[in-house]
Amino acid sequence: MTEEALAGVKVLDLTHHIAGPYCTRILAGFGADVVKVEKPGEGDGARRMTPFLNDEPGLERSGLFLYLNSNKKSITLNLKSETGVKIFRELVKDADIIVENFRPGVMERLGLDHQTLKELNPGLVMTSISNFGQDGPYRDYKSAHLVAWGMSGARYNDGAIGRRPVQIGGWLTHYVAGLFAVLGTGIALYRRNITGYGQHVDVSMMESTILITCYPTVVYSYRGILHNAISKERMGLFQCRDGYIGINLFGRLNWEMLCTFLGVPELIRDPRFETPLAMVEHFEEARAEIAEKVAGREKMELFQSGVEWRIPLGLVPNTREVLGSPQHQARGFFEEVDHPVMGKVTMPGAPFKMTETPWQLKSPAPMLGEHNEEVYCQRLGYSKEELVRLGERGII
Amino acid sequence: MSGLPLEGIRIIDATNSWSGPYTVQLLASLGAEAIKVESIQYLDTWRAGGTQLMEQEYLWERSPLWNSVNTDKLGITLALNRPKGVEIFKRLVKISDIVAENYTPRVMRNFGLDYPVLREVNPGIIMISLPAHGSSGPWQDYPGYAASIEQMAGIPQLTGYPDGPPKMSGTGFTDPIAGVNGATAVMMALLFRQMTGKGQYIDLSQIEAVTSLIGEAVIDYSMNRRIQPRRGNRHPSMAPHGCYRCMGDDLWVNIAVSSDEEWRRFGEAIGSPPWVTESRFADGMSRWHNQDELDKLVEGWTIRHDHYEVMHTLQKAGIAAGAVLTSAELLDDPHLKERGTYQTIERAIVGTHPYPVSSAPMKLSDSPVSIRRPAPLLGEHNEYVLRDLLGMSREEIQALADDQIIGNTPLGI
Repeated sequence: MTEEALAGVKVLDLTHHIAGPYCTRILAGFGADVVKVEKPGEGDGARRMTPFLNDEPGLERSGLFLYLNSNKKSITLNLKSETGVKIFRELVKDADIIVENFRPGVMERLGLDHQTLKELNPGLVMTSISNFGQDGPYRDYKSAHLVAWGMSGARYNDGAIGRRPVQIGGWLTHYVAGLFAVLGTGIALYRRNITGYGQHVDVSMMESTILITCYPTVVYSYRGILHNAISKERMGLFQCRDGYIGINLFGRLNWEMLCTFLGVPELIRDPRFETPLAMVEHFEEARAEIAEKVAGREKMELFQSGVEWRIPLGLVPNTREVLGSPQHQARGFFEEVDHPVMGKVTMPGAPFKMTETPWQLKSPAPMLGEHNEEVYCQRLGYSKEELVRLGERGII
Repeated sequence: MSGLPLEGIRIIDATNSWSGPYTVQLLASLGAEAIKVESIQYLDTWRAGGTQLMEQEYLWERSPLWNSVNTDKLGITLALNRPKGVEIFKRLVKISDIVAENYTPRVMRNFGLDYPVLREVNPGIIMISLPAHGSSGPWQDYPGYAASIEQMAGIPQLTGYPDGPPKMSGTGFTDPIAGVNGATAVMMALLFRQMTGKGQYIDLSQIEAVTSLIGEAVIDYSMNRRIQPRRGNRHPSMAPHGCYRCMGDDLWVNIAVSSDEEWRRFGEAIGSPPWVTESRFADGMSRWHNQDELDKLVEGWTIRHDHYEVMHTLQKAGIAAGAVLTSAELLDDPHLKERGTYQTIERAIVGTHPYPVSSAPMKLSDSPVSIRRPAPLLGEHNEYVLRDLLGMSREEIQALADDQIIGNTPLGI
């Protein structure tokens, strides 16, 4: 039998959209009891974000929400009402962790900032995720995935000098902030278990994104160059018969092996490519030579033959091919949930494997307010009649 | 209560390049004692990262990339392909809490230092492996590096323009993504050990950790059999939502307008030119359908302004806008200065430079963090580790050096 790293840990989840929910998704998979607190009638905005089942919007039809909120309970609570705040404070008394990603200042206005809540519960860990952090001149600035990516320095790392920068696909910057939030929360909880005191964890999406780019500022400081043009070239994609394959052209040993592997050993001693500096200068020609050799081949055949030579070629799979990967299938990476509205849906499971305390996908994302009765009646002792009255007053 | 949260935790860092080293650095930043293990026969390949392509003295100490991701660590050399090296490694395991490595599974197995062995040495040990493809399955021993991992995780197919080829991000971001996941996994294991005393093994596939960040694209295929298209700089519903050229050489700003109210304020902020009130841009749907023309008009305004100026003007009107920052600007940015994102430290051979604080994205209120030491020089802490931690005599240490099991200078350079 496996055990849970966060068994008995109670989390109040005031998050919405992507970053916060990704953080609590991971906590929930390790066994934390995560109660997601949503706005009555509307819920988390991610419930209104694509993709929807059959492209038909609906609060219980968003694939994004489904992914980010597995294993959680949902209650509705209007935090803009005095009674709502009072009920929330009751929940805080025996909580271990609060995670929130409102704009900085919102929790304070609600009287729910860490300074206030720790009087109620000194062991409380509170994690706040925001665009730019809880202080500093940009504290109240708005952001978006595109904006965060641009502000991280990523662009001047990719060598695309003069061309219009383009964001990385998906919602990566939000996810990354969520990742740092789980880590910070885990560290604060570890500390709390020693000292008895919780603390506030302040996660910034801008700084999260800066830390995942390849140190352009340090390269600049060491060498005075704003563009680290080499990195673009290291990461070339080449068209082949049935799609694309990723090939690294740099590194002398790598180049020698690549040329032999592709049956063009004469390129090894070609003066255009013989030294690292020559390679930088004649990069487009090197690219053209390699492109010609792979154009007629199939990507999986190239990938598998590359492995024989220990040349790490990259398949460039689309989502269907990612799902069909034999490696993912052998490791059971993708898992299926059965949701009352959306039916059976496949999604990524554990982000990493642990022998004693594996991350587990136990239940699909909750319906809006699905656990009101469980939390309000069983945990806080409200009667069903009181629940109805709270509902009528728009508090839950 | 003062003190760093992970004080008293010791990590053996047998990782290389960027992913595993970042896992360890994050934990070291929060107080753990990290001992990086290299050998004079086989340096961390990242010591060549970002160095200038010309001969210089101590070239292996001059990598901006290696020196960035190894701050807060101690450094030793140890030849793990020699029995004596393996023996010393095991003695270190005995007095440590965590071992991290990121080779393909066969490497630690060949050294005789895989988890079943280390668990015998120290039953409470937490071991983490971060190979490209994970430690099981048919592809477990396939090589991988940042670019191929980004490709295999399905990121390039979602990056770039709808009518263009798939595109790489150019950042190698998959390494630190694996790194943050790795540190998180270690914390979960430490929390479990805190309660039960039990160690465990963590198997982190870098490709899985990165694929976890496109869950909605996976679900779109599962639910709707749709392969999501590349969006360029666009958004499924917002417009304008793009990257616009600004005044100056290769300077840009990103702008994202999320509602009609924001659109109204955007119009006012840019001086209410007549086109902002045209009906083709009146509501979200119209703007989204007419965004080719909209983007040209927006750029007609941004091109006349500095990118920081555009950002501040629009942000003051409550609109998400961000200058595409150059490295020089990042280092000078008032917000990052106030947040302490970068810290300037001195290191032998390379002098004084600013480095990002590894754990800057998550600030703990009771545990303010600063970089406590620069990245170690090769073998810098051999003596501390071998003599002070393992109790070896000066003679024993000298014998190891004579045998090239430890050293301070790479062989064959």
